Amino acid sequence: MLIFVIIKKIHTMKKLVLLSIVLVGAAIALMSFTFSKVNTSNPPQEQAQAMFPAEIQKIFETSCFDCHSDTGNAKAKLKLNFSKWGELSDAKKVGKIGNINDEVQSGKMPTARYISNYPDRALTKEQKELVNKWATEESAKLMGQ
Amino acid sequence: MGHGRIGQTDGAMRKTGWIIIGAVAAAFIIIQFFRPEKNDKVTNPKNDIVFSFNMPVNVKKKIVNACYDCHSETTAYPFYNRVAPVSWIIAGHIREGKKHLNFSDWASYDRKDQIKLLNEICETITNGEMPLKGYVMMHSKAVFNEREIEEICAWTEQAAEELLSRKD
Repeated sequence: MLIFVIIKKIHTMKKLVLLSIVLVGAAIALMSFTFSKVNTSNPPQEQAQAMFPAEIQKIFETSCFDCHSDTGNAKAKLKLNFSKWGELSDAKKVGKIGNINDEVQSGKMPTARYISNYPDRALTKEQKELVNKWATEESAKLMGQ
Repeated sequence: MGHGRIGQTDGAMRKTGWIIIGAVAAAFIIIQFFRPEKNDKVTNPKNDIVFSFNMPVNVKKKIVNACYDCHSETTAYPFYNRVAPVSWIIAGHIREGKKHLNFSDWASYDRKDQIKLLNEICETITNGEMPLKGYVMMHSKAVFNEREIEEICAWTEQAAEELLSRKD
């Protein structure tokens, strides 16, 4: 008998469905509102001294420092903070260079969101190749090869 | 809304209800026939990370217990792996996990990737990215306490230094 009661409830469920659609819609609206407030408008910072070869330094300053330096956001800094690069051990540097190159070559970084805000900061094919060449040479150097 | 809707009597609604319940039940039964392949390859133990380093016993134990289900070729499956679509989700996690790091295949990584992965082991357990929340919820062996994190990070750091100066 219980099952018939449940089926009667289907009428009520229609209202529930409507309500959940409204709720999901509201959630999406709220999320897009919150995310759009994420501040990515820090101008590239002039860092104290160049830590990388000039062309690499320029790429990182333009396309990475906004998030991955002292003035950047917490989540990005947790992964990589260029302002603290000098404090890393050689082993850590080798690891981070590997991570940087993975992210850059796979196109995961800079993020699509960042690029949509700053289309001119997307990495060109040539820039990606420069990063790859630097990553390979620099980690080999650090490993004493 | 509701009762008075034109052209749909209570009987028709009842029938639709049963059809939906039946279809869901049938779909659930049918998906049980699609079982992902098990992660239980026989591998050469010499390729495993435990063979590459002289690891402290505690560190070795913790890594095997907390990580190997997804980051090696041997998974100790939980009972609920018998039910689809749970089994699919688990298979997906294992596939993804092995893609990033496969401890059974450690010897195949080059030296700089090994250094990178050692760094990442410490980082991901420190910031709570790993093990996955859902996995920890179901496996108490995968819960890390402060001391275990410190021990593992001390070891990964030392192992990375060792690799850095190792001449190949």
